[in-house]
Amino acid sequence: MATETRTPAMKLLVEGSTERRLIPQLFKARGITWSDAERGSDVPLIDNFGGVENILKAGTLAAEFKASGLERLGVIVDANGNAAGRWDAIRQRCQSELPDMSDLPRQIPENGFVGERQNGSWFGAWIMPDNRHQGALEEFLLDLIPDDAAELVEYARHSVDGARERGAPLRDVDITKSVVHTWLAWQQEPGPQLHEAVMRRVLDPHHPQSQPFVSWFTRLFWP
Amino acid sequence: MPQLGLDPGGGAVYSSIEINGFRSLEQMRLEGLSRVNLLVGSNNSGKTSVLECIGLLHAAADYRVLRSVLELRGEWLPDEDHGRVYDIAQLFSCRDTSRPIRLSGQPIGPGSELGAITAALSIRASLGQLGLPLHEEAGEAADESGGRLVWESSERKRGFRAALTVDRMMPVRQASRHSWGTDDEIPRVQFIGTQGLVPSDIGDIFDDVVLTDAEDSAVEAMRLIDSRVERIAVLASRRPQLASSARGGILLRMQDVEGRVPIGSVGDGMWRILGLALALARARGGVLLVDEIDTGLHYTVMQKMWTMIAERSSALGVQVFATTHSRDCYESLASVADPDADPPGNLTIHRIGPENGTSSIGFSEHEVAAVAERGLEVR
Repeated sequence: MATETRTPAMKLLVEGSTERRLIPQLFKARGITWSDAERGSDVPLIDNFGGVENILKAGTLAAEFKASGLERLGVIVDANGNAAGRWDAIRQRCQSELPDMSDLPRQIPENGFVGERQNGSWFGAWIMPDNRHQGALEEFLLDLIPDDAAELVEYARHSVDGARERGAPLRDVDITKSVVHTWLAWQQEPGPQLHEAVMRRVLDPHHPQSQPFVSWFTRLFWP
Repeated sequence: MPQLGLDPGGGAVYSSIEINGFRSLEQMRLEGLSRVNLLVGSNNSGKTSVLECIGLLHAAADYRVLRSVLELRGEWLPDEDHGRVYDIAQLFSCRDTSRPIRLSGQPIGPGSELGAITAALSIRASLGQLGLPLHEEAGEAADESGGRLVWESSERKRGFRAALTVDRMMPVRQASRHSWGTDDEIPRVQFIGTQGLVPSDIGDIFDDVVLTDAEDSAVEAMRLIDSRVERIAVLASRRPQLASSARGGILLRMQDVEGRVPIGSVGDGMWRILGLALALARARGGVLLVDEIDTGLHYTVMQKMWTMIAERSSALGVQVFATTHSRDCYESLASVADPDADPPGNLTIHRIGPENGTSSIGFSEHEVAAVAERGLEVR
């Protein structure tokens, strides 16, 4: 007889490997034991979809929800240039594939969306950085830089501007990403990866700015 | 309403089916059905029962389909007076024969404007029991002490009836006498059980298709597995031997291979595929039911099998329903699904199980493709 591998009860779909590694660190810092999720595990399985287009591809959300044993499904996507447009894309996908989720709010709530489906399962969505502004994960992480580093962050921003003036090929959309990584390059152990930075408390997982995201996550997966 | 991509092969297909009071299926609804449907679910979830219902619905009260259902489950007992009797109470939920079994299906495609196809099986008091005169010509015998099994179908003016013994058993011979399906007429439903086809079945089906387009179609199907296959033949002189389980007497001619190749020497996969290909060909314009379709097949052959089934069922206008417990089996189906198909598409998966209440959970073709891509568990 075939092995009875089952879908985990909780699943979080993310755009890239950075989110997949970083999110557990945010919660480990809060005392949550995070092991690789299997059925019966208390933490969601984080699945790296390699891009928002794969998360929002026709059939994906419906198939994920229909997989046996799934109870809670979350998606985290980057706003990039347009948070409202991203939410519209999620709404449209729900409208065409999840009939009972066809009346989602026109605007995503500031503290993220969490809703119950007719069959008792739950769906949640968060648009990085904060469901309102343009940007991505790095804009969210910029807010986790300890307040006493404000001057250094300002200097990092200034440096990035200076580098662009000297011909650095950086695109506008990546400026914040570059500022965060520049600042990280100046730490005692220079250049940690983002999840390492949270793990070593270079970025502050308890920063009040992380609270809305943590609350959304908790409402969705650990109500 | 989403439309199936119907093709020159024609044949109406069911888009939804509703079952009431059959075996463990008190009530069950399947929606979003397509050309090829794979039913998954845990053991005892009722997958085989769903196949049987589709057979009984589509059979137009052809006795041979009821016989297959009862024979494949071995639901018969020896009987002193009648030789063998079928235990038909097994078909009814909780063996409660006072509640009829009701089946209905919504077809789409050619002929679907006539509306839902329905069937009902019930046990009724005989006229004799009611103190009324018997109509011998209507097949009413004096020994109808247990009433009659009545199988009605919207597809046939007069349904199937058989007298029952006092303990509600259906004598095999009695049933055959009232058979409405004649052996000249190919049944609208082909049913392959978990054991697959035995050599005598292959011989019988081959007789039906030999020198017709269906034979060519079976050869084409075999070529999808091995492109060297040129012809299949069943040796008439060896027919009696086919009744045994040996696979002698069925031969292949293969390109670049000297002489005739006995089918037994080309592997189990080929045998299973031949059975499927012939059954598909004989089911032209009808329904093919396959229980545990993956039996005896390696993963790499399964992919080819689904490609063959998808192509031939479409060309021949056959709607296919198959069951599996195997992850390899549904993943191999998923691997040939089209991620851009408009729902429901032509290849769908349906999970049957008590945890889903009275409806199956259906995956349309583009969702099936997502299952393959994400490695999702659908059972």
